[in-house]
Amino acid sequence: MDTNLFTQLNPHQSMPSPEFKHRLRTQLLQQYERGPLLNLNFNTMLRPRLLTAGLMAGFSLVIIFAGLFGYYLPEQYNINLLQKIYAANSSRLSSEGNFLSIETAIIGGPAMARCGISNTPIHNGYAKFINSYYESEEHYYYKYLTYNEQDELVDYLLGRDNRTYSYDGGDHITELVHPRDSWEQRDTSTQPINNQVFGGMSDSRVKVISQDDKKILLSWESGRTCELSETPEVSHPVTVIAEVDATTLRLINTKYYLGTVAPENLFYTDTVKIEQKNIPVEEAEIKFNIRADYPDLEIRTQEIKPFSETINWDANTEDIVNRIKDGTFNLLVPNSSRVEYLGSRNYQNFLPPLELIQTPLLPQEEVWISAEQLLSFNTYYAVNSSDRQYGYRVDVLKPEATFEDYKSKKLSSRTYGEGDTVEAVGSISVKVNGQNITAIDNLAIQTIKYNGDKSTLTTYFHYIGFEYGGHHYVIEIYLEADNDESPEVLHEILDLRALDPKNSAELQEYIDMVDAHRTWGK
Amino acid sequence: MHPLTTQEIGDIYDRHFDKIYRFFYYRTLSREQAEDLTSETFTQFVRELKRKPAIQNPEHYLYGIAQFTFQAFLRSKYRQIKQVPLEVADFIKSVQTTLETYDDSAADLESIAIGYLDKLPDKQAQVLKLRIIEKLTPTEVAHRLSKNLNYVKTTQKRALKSIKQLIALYPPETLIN
Repeated sequence: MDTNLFTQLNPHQSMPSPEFKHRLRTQLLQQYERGPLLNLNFNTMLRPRLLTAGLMAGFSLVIIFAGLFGYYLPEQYNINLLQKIYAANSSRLSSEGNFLSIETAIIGGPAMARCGISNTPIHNGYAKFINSYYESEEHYYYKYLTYNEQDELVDYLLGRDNRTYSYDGGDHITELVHPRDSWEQRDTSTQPINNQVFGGMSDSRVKVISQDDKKILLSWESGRTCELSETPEVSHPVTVIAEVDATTLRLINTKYYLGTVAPENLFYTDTVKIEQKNIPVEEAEIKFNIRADYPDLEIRTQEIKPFSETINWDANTEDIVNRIKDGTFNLLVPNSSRVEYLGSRNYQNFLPPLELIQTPLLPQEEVWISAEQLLSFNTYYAVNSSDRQYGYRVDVLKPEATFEDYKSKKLSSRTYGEGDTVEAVGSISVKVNGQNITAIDNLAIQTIKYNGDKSTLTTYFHYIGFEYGGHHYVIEIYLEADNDESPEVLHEILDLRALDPKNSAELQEYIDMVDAHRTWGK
Repeated sequence: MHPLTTQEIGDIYDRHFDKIYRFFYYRTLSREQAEDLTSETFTQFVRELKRKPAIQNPEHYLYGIAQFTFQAFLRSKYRQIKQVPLEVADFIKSVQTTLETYDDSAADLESIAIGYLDKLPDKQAQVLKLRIIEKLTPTEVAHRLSKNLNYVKTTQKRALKSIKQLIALYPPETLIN
């Protein structure tokens, strides 16, 4: 059996890891005795924290030993391209204990230059997709950075792990844990705003105009994208209000940010809460408190007077839209009905983003999408009953979905239209432990003109192989451009250590793949 | 019914953890997903025990939570729930059957995959048959079909994705029956 083909049917994974089993058991029993129960979702909650702690401890040890013994790590690394893979077959296991890190930086053409949430194309822009893999953590991190033609960063997405990349529902992007880049952990609900800092990416020209314990008013130069770099001492929840006078806008709130928007869609938002009374009868009440000022952008000194009313479930979408514009409304949601978050371009200009905080959940058996899943994004909003559809439906998320999930979902929800051009990666570079191992320009320019026939879309692969410490790795990079997905640049590290070094046929298969792609674009 | 002691909960965990994890793994073919679902199930279970200490049949209750957890997963990922038995007793049988169907050998996993080939779209089935049954390498498959390597890789990737979904929704035992 080809080990590569059925990796995901690998039988050894069918048994749980003893470490995971033991840890979960211990935590459960401890919390049963002491309470309260925390979310022990290992992959999304516990492991990142453990790994972060472990990583910090590991690095501390490395620094101590380096200081004691004058140990200079980079000199120990021996990195060659996979062309030499045969010669190294017998020299395995020399790097046990060393940390391997691999970073690939891919420059995407204009078709890739889209803002993560809104999917707004950036004219003549480009995107950098930087993947980092740390063997010590067994995690991938990625940054999806979108630039305009003035080389200004206008949008980014941050994520972690392969699972992040499969935007087909239910997968996680959780906390942004990236100590190497000073990205601090981002907890979606309890962290004060001070933890929202993204070091190295903030714009010093952002100004805090005013602040109190409920809101922060920011401004920045026209045409710039800004992020909250100064961190007033306020506690959650807080509202970040942006002064909008430019073609780009970015806000980071304690729960969400807004992506770049076109001038005609400018708006700002307040924190929105849903207060739900858990009524186990005919209906539950969900209260939205929405403040929307479109099209009036004079928001600096404006006092918003909340406006409340109740809208029946059957109210038509335009009616809801108009009421949202004016302030607050209550939505009655029968338990047996579906609440769906719909979008239609027709309503785009009218609608504010929402952030819905719901406590507690409706009975899950009876609600297809919980209100908590109706997370905010900066396009449009509508509600309908199950038998009426307006526009297209945004993908359903897991009940525990975070806003990070939503960002990724939105990124993937664009569908191709006839005449769309999908442009694959323009260049790529790979670093292993900080050293460049390959930098190939114009590696894989692939332009696809979508003609309405999905079968013409394909996935492009590129392979880069290298040997490190006697072990062989292949980086499989591919542009996913099939079906209804957005073009995605993905990568996987194929660790060939599991292969039998004496079985040259298996290695040859990888070498063939690497060789077959080395000439791309040349 | 007295509240369960820590020891009793630990015993339940020890008796059922492997079964539940393996069930989730065989249906999702993802270690991370299986861990998450298992963790979710037991966390919810213990949470319910704290809330309602006098649960009559805790093990039955545990499988009820597992059933709901898996149902929510399918609904979220594939928008389908009908493949999960509605009765907890049936779900427990389903777990048992799934575990019995697999015996953790790579060959059986391969043969299980073969069982789904005829449910794949033609192009995907064609490539996967050559890969699995005739044991051809991607390069050889490309040559055989007069296609390039990208076509083979793309089609194979889609085929595996399709099989993964089919196994989640229609477990092997339903094919046998």
